[in-house]
Amino acid sequence: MRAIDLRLWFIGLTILVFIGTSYQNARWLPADYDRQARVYAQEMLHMGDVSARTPSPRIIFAGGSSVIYAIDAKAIERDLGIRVINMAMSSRIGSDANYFDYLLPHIRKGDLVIYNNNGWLHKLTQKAEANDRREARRLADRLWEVAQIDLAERKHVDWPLLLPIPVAPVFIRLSGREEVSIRQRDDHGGLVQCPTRSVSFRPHDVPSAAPDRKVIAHISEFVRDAKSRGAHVIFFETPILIAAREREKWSRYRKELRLQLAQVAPVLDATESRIFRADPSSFCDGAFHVDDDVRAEWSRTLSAQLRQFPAVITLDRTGTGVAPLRLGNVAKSTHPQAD
Amino acid sequence: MRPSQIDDTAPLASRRSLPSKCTLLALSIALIWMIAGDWQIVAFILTMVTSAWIAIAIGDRLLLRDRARTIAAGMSIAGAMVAIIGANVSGLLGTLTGTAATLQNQWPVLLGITFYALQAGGVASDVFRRAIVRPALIDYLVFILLGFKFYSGPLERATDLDRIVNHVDARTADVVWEGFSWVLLGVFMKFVIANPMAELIILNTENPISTLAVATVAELRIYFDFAGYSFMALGLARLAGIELTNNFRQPLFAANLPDFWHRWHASFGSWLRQYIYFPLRDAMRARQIPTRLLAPSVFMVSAIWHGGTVNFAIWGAVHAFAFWMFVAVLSKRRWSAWAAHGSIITLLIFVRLLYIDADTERLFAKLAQFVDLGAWAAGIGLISNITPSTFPKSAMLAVGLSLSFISLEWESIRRFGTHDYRLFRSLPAMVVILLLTILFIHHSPSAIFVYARN
Repeated sequence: MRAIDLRLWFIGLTILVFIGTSYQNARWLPADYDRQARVYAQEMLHMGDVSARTPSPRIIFAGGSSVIYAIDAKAIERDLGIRVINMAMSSRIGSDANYFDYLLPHIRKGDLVIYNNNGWLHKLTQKAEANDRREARRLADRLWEVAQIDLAERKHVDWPLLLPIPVAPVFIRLSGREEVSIRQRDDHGGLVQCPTRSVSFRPHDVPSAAPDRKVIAHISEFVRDAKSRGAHVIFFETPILIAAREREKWSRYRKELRLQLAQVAPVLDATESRIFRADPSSFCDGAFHVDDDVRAEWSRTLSAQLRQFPAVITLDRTGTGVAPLRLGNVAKSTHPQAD
Repeated sequence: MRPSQIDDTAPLASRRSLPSKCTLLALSIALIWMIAGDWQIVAFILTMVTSAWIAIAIGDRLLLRDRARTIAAGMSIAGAMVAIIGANVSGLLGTLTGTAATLQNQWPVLLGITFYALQAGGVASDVFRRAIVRPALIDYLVFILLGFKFYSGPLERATDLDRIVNHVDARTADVVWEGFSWVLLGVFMKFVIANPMAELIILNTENPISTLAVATVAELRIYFDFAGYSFMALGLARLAGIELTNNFRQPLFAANLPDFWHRWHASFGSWLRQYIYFPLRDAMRARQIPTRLLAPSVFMVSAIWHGGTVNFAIWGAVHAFAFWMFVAVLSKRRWSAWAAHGSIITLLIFVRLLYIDADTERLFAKLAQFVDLGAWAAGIGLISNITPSTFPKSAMLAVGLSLSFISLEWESIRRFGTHDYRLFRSLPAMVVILLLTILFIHHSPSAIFVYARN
């Protein structure tokens, strides 16, 4: 009888402990969002410093994590003899919708912005982003609504439990979570240390629908603003690991995206480059170090392509202005400036 | 009055009342809705499952001859399997499991449909074969949609329908403790051990040592993940007075390969035997067709059910061959227990290597590494570069916990002579598990669900 009582006491205690910890986890949810926003802000400041230290004209690589990993700005700078910085930012909660707002003030007359849109960046509108954050905060007060909330980043809530389980286990929280984002970037914005070994290894799902009109409109607006600042913008693609069975779907999506982007600015014809066939698995070695050989190879190939690209050849290296953009191996037929 | 298939005289048991069944059904629908997040999906599932019941009812009334009923029973199972395999091969589902699952985030409940289809097929088959009487709609819906199963099994046989739906065990302290201990053990296995290990499953390995290491971790992760939520389902159902099939019974300590398949995803194995293997075997024997290759063929069906990609076909073929080898050759020799466990675990790691990678080109490249001495040397070189910061702390801790857990599994079998994780479900062990869970419970964003997701 005593043993049974002990077991029932234990069950009661466990239920109380779970309610308590899940309540605490729920309170951590907005903290997780805030932490990501804080890390992102720190990284933005660092990249702002990089930009401020680098006089125009220059090449600015922009985009998401693929650009951070694939592009070695230093190597391309050496190859082309033009100042190059990598201002790509990883896509995070609270970041996607604000990326262009962050990037635009850094663009100056004479810059060439080479932008990669991987289909996932900017998938959230600012409104949706705000909703996400508001919902996350609301969770702290209304725990049992957790299952009803359709968060775009529903990573905090695992199935099948309805308990909000934090991404960071308690023991990591207690020991302090290291903020490594700034340490990962060098003085050209390039990547010097992988955040984890497994990053970028997982195949991406292809967006389920055609390129979002709002996303294209958002990009168009950015291109217009960048041009009004006296800069040029071209688009390019970086390697993305796509699930094997989705490659055909990805090819269709990419083709459509390229067609739409070409209405806005030239699209660097990347299909002949080895970069875009390379396996992204070699970004990081077992000790979290970026594999410089692989990245150097990619950068050399990209440099060779850019060297053939008139906008780069004619980029005024003295900083006094920008020579007229002549279109070479870009999507002439679809670009509005094509002559 | 329908004949009951359960022993109503069993102590501490009662028949479930209609309000209780309605409550269970409502709870199940609510759980499906919470997972699906969309009433349209719930409506679709209800329509599909109810339509199947109507078809069963019509068939039950119209089909009078035994031969016609036998054909209808076979067609029910074949139809369910062909639909699911077709969905896999055509790419609609891609794979039910594995790291290259193509299922879109918004449709995880499609997986449930595969389980619902198999269960409905089982009910149809058993009704047509007159193994059970046609269940009332409410009983049928409770059986198919039972929410505790989280749309991923256990895949119960229709012959157990009456026991599962109508038989309610009294909630004595023992029953409550049993249910509770399974739930807590499942939470620990899934959220403390399995989830963090997802970070270590890297498919782009470049040497055989890394490939084998990843396959070993993948094996551990899938075991702890799948067993974890199976135990949660088992425990929650037990708290409701329902006894579901235990999907996992310490399979890593199986004595031989057939024994392993009785212990790993046991309900699916049982379903395959009851609805595919036995009917086909009986039919073939009646026509004097040799049945030697039947069991390996069922393995292939199971493989394509898991995924419509090349790696699953190879995975099934290797399992089929190993099973055939065991039955035809190896079972005739005496094996020490350690040799048996060792060979099973070696086989499991190798087939897991096949299972986790749906990229055929990359998979073949990895297999080619095994005959490349340079790749082996590179792997050995990589080991010397490993530092404490090489792998995420949570993941390494999870691997350590998983190995400790497996060691204690052996102790549990040795001490109690059973395969029901009894050592872990004792009060002192539960205290330790609770503390570890509070400290280390962890959600890895990439480890939502071992079925269909990476």
